[in-house]
Amino acid sequence: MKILLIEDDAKTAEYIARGLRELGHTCNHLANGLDGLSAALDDEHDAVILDRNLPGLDGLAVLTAMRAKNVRTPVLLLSALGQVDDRVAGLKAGGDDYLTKPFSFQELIARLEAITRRTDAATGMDGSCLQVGDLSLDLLSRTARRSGREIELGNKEFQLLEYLMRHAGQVVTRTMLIEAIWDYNFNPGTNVIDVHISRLRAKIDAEGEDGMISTVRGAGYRLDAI
Amino acid sequence: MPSDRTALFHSAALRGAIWITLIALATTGFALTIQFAQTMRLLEERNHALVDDEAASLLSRYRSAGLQGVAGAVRQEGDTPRLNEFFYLLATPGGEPLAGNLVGWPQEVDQPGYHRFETQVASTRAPSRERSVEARAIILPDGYRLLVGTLSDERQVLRDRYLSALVWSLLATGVLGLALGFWYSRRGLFFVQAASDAGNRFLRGKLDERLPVSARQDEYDRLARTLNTTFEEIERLIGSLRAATEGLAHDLRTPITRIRARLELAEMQQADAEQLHAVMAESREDLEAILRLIEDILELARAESIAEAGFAPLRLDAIVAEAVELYEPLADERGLRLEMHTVPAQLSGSRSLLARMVTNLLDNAIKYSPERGRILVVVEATEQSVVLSVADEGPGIPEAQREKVLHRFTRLDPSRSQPGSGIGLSIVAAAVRAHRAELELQENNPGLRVVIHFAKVPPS
Repeated sequence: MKILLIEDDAKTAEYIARGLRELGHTCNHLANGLDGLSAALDDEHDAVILDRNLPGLDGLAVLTAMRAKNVRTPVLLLSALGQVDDRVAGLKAGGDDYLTKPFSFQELIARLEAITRRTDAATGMDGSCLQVGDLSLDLLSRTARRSGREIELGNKEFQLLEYLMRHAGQVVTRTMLIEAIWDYNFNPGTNVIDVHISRLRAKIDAEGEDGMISTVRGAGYRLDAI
Repeated sequence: MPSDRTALFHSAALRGAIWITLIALATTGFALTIQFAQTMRLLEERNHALVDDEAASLLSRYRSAGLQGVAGAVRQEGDTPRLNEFFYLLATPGGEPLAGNLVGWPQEVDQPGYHRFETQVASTRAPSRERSVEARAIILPDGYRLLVGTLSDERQVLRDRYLSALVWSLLATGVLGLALGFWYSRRGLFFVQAASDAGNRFLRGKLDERLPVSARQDEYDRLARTLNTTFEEIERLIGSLRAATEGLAHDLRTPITRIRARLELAEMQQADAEQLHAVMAESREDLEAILRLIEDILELARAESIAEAGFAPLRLDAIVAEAVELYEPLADERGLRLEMHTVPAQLSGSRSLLARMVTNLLDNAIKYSPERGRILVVVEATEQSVVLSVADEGPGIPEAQREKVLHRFTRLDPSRSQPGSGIGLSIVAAAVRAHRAELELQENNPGLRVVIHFAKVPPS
C-alpha cells in the first residue's frame, strides 16, 4: 500500500514509517499541514495517517479540505487528545477511524487495514448476506449458518460476528471490537472480549470443523475463510 | 506580617466603625440644626405677633386721638407693669424722643420694619444690663416715628443651648459610635484573624488545619465552611497525589524490574533464539501491563476533568444492560451468577464515564467473587433519584477501610497479587463526583454492595 503520513512529531513519524516499510508498504512522510494537504489532494495514496495537531494547517482542517475537494482516500486520525468529543469531531469531519496516542503499532496496522479494505473483504455478497468460506450471516433474519447448520446467536454475538466477517482476513483488535460493538472509547478491564470470542468460537466451530477465528498474539483476532 | 498596632489601623472593622460614626454624627448634627431653626422661627413669630398687636393698638389710638393720644398711651403703657416687657419710643421725624421708655432712637433702626438690637435696660430689680430687643419701626403719616419692641433674649439663650447641645451630643455620638461600631465589627475582625492564621498554618504544612464554625450559622460561618471544604479538598488531593505517586512508582517498578532481570539473564546465559523469543514475549506482556496502567491513569485524569457542560440525557438502565451483556460471558465462565433488575431510569450525564463506572464495578465484583457467587445489579428509580447498586458475595471491605479504597491505587491486598491497577474504584469515585451523585459502600452479608444515588433531573 502507498501511505501518506502527515505527522509533525519526528519520533512518532519515524516509528510509523519504519514499521510500514518493514511490512512492505510505501510511506510518504510530510511534517506540516499545508504540504500534507497538497500531497493528499494528489489522490495517489491508499490511505492517509493524519495527526490532529499540525503546524501550518490543523489536521481537522486538512481533512475538511480533502473531503471538500472530493478526495475519498481513507483517513486514520491520530490524536494526543482522547476525549469523546474529539473523536466524534474527527469522525464527523470525514475521518474513517480515530486512534489516540500512544498506540501500539499493531493497533495502527489493524485499523489501517480495516479502513483501506472496508469495502467488504468477504466479497460476492449482496447487501443482506455476508459469506466467508462456509459461514454465512443473514443480516435481515439475523441468523448464521455454517455448512448448512444453523447457529443461534445472541445480539452482541451477532454484532461481533458481523464485524469479524466484514473484516475477514484482517486483524481486528480488542479495542476495535469494543468501539464498534459497545461504542466504548475505553478498554474495559480483564479479558472480557476474549471470553466473548471464545463463546463465539464454540458456537461457529462444530466438532471436527476447523476454527475460523484465530488469535493474533499481541494484537487481536482474525476471521478467515477455510 | 504587620504588627498588631498597624493591623488595628488597617483593620476593616475600625474603618467600618469610623464610617458608621461619621454617618451618625452627620445625622445628629442635621437633626439638631433643623430643630434649632424651627424653634428660632417659632420664637420670632411669637414676638412679632406680640409686637404687631401692641403696634396695632397704638396706631388705632393715633387715628382716633392723634400724636398726643399716642404719646399719652406710650407713657401710660410704659409705666404699667406687664408680663411681657415692652419698649416704646415716639420720636420726631429727626429722631428726638417725645415719649417712651427708651432713652434714644437706636442708630441701627433706619427704616420701617423689624429690627433687632442690643440696648441697656434698667429694671427695678437689677442693675442695668445689655439686653437683646426685637422692635418694629413705624413712620406715622405726619413723619413722626414710632418704635414698639419686646425683649428677645431667648434667642441668645437658645443659640447657646443649641451650641452646647450640639457639641455634647456629637461628642457622645462619636465616642459611643466608635466604641459600639468597633465592638460590633469585632466578630468580623476575630474571624478574619482566625481565618488568616489558619490559612498561614495550612500553608506552612499543617494540612488538618480547620476554621472554627460557630452555632450562629451567619455569613462568617458559611464562609468558614466553604474555606474548610477547600482545605479538606486540598488535603485530600495532596494525600491522593502522594499515594498516587508512591503507588505508580511501585506498580511501574515491578514489571520494569522484571524486564530488566530477564534481559540481564538472557545476556548472561547467551540465550539462543528460542529463549530470546520467550524473553521478548514475556517482556511484551509486562510492557502491556505498564501501558495499561498508564492508560488507566490518563483515564482517571479525564474522568476527573469531565464537566457537566458535556452532559446529555441518557438511560442508566440501558448503559447497565450493555455493560452486563459485556461481562455476562466472563461471569459465566467463572461460574458466577450475574443477575440484573432494572427499571427505566433517565439521567443527565456522560455516557462514556457512566459506562466506565459500571464496567469497573462489574469488573471488581467478578474479580472478588468466590466460586458460584452471585452478583446482583439493580437500577431503581423514584421521583427524585436513581439508585444503582452492585452487590457481590466476595470478602467485602472492612468498614474502617471503605473511605480509603476510593482513593487512587489503594488495593486492600497489600501483596498486590490480584490483577489490576487499583485505579478502578478511583475512576468510579471520580464518575460519582462528576455526576454529583453519592456513593455508599455497604455490607452485603457476605460481600460488598456499592450503592450510588443520582439526583434525577426533571425532564425539561
